[in-house]
Amino acid sequence: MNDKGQTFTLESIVASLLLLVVAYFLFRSTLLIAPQSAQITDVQLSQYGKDILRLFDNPKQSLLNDTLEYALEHINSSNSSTLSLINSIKKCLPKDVMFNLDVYYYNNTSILDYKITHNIPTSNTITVSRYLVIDSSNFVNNSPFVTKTAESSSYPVVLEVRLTLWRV
Amino acid sequence: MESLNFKFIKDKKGQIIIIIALFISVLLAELSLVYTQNILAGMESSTTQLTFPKYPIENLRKIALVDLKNYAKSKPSGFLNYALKLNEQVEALYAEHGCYASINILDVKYTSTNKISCYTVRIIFFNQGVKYVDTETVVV
Repeated sequence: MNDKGQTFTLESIVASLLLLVVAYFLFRSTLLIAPQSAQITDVQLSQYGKDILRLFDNPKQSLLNDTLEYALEHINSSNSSTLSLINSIKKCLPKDVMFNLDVYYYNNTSILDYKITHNIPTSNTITVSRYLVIDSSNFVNNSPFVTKTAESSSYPVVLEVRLTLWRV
Repeated sequence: MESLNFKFIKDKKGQIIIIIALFISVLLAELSLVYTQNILAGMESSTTQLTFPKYPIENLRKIALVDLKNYAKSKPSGFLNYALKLNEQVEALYAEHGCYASINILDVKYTSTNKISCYTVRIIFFNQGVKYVDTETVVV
């Protein structure tokens, strides 16, 4: 029987326990780390955009004049029905965030752009799109989104509403 | 060890301490490697989360499952033509973003009164990193 070496044995047991505890905490820590600080503002702006487009895409409330559907259905060369929508979007956004609202549509040959606001971005921008399907019979006369050469009187029109956001 | 017999070695005890120290240092080095990979995995996950086209796919599903359903309810006679017209516009608008997206009707079932009871739609979305294909049957 040899009594030497107990300290070494104890030390190695303590060391192995210590390492096991460290390994346990390391693997238990969450793998998902928050985005880098530079991306946080982009994510936040993009979330504002998605929320706003989802909020104003409200086909069942067609009597309200600040929904996307109402505004787009009533646009023509003589009438701009978007003022109420623009004001409502402004109210939803923080004061230091500016936006541009564009509508993209396909007229059987190419993609066209109808600009609702004409602001000039002053910093990096974030773009969010939402696609609306509106029947061509719901648009007012001379609407830019309806092609007159359509073979049938009524057809679905797909409009891409593109919201561009930036901080000022 | 006895055969080496270095004269400058006064004391031959302490090898275990040195071996344990070696083990511990190797283990610490491995742990630091795991920790670094942990950070890398976190960064990759967050970047993937940011770039994943969740919103475009959600938009596409809304058109296929909600807007097309409205057409199937209200205008069953020209439903396939409406769906083709819709798909043509969706393809063009998504192509502008560098993606391929399409909504194809695979099957339509009619009732005895010529109304649509259900339709099967295939939703396809591709971009540089993500491929999404889904086939769903929608009860009208």
